Amino acid sequence: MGVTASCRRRDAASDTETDSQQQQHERRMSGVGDEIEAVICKEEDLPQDGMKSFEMGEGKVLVVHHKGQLSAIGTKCSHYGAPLEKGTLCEGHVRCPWHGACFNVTTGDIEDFPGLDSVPKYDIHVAEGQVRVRASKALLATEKRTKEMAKRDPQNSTALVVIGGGAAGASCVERLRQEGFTGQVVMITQEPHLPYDRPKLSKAMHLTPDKIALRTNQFYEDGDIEILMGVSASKVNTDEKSITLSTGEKVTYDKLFIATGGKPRKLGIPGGDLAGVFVVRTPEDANAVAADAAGKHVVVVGTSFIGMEAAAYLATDNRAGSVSVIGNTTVPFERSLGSGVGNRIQRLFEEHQVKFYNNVGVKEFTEEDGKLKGVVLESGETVAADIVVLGVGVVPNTDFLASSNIPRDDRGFVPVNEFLETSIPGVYCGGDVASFPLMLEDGNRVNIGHWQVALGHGRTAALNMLGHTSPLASVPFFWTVLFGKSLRYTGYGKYDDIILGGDLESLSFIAYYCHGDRVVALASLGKDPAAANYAEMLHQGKFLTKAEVTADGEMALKIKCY
Amino acid sequence: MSYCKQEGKDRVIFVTEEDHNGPTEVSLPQDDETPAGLIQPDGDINWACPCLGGMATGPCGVEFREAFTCFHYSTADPKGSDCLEPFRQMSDCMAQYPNVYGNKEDKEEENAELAKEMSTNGEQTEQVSVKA
Repeated sequence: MGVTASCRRRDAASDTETDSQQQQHERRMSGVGDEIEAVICKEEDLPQDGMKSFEMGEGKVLVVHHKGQLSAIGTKCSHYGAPLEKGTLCEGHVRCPWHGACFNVTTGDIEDFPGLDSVPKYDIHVAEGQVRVRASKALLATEKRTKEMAKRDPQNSTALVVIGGGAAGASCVERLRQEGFTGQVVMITQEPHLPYDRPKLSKAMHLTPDKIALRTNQFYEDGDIEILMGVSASKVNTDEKSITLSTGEKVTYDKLFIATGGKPRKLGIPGGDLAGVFVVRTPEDANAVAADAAGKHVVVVGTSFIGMEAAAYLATDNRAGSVSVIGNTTVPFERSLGSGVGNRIQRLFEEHQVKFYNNVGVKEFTEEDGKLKGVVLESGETVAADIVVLGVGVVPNTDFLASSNIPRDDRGFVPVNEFLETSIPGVYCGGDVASFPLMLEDGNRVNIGHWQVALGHGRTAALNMLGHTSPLASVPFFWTVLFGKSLRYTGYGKYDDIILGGDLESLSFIAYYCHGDRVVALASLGKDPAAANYAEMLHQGKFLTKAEVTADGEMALKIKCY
Repeated sequence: MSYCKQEGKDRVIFVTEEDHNGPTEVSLPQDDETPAGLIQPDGDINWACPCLGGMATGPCGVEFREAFTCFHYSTADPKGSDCLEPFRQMSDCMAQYPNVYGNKEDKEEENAELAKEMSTNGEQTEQVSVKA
């Protein structure tokens, strides 16, 4: 059975190659300008159906043999550099094992996030039993490929405006340019920073915003993307198609994308405004906590992801004097991950000297001389505290829409259709503030606050704003890192039972969240690529059944592409 | 003259200066006791042998012993080819405990991921733009 070869022009150097199979010839490289070409392996070394990486020059290429087609792309995920070889190959794309990013195996284009860039694609050609790859030296070195952005054409006066500088906003503005839009692109962000990698805030609280910026200033300049930093939108008038900024200025739009994200909840209790009480929303919050924590009593309120990640960060390497965590459930992550997983994670934290106060709420914060001193629990007990970190939930940042006719539901989220358009034509909404139809929920509207979902929304909104009708189609995927352990989660939904596979005790497990007979979500630790596999399966509209995973707890590792 | 005296539990030796100087003329008996190896004199496997790297104990100790015993007594050709089932079970068991039977490659990957989570996004200047 032959292998289809990609079409490429014959190179003068390769014509002189005799068909001697000596080892010395196998790795001979010919440099043609900025490209190199080399034999990377023999035809029989190619995977029958799958992926395999090979060295080439100073770098590596990933050869994919899928559905009879041979292609070569970069080996590393554009998000955090994970080895794509260890991911899931299905339906013409490879899904990264770490955080679920998805790349087309023929073109290397990014199809699902996180990560913003695509991976390089190289030419591959089989001749005389030898497999040759031609690659751009630059791409081979960086292993990332940023799509080219169009430049502003002053004749094009169409203005596409994005309110929000988070994941959805960032992804939207660059996608608009990458799709060739030449009109005006404006991003309005209330933070004084360029968009940054938000998931890192709670995991590495010391990182300053410039160190985690998603793109450089130069990038936005090259793309003629105007960014208005440190201003917020205070009003939107859809009849006039204008946005009034906090400075009083007005910005007009032809189409609008609202992606203002969440606003962290604070506890409206006595002492809640004391200086030592922090939320973790901005880099300033995180950096302030990190800078001040040494030798201090830190109390984290909230046992879901923000709180627990912050607690884990502070409880490592003596970053804080002591870390205590207060939660109103029996164990951390009780609702999101279940009490089995939650209990095991609590014990992981306790092994790192974190003290837990569960099943209790906070009544007030006490002070001495104006400085935070303690946290009073509803049980009456007081916990000493110099710093409090609140991780008690988030509400959509949509108050500024109150005076507009853009509808919001009773919790403040903005309902949209599968093209992310609100009921007002030309006004789109995505990210944490949107209530959008989810394929997994049979098209019912949900609100999801995952970084990956938001990036995808930015992309989808951009395509739709440009008239390339493109419905939402991604599978929710998120991850959390606690004491160096990465827990990966994919799927969505209320569950009525949890089946555990692997070994919870040794932190190498898969948890299957079941609703009736269907596995609606999966969480895994130390079991790659279970989550990527399941994300792929869900993407195809299929599910594992409760019976299947009960019979074999390792099922998610064994599912193959259909 | 050197002499030896038993005082209760103690044996006391008085050595003359003459006898003490110079090398001893005593010859020790041949030590038949070489340190215990993998196979005991009766042919059984010594599970405490350090060469087993502790695999005979731990969460998969039982599976290991069964596989190894099978191999040890196997008369098939090649040796051990009739032991696929116990080895498979051992392998399945060990896969369940990566923290104990760590795959070095997996650990390296875990460290690489953690490093990325906690570090700067860097490399922004290295982006290469290519026509889509």
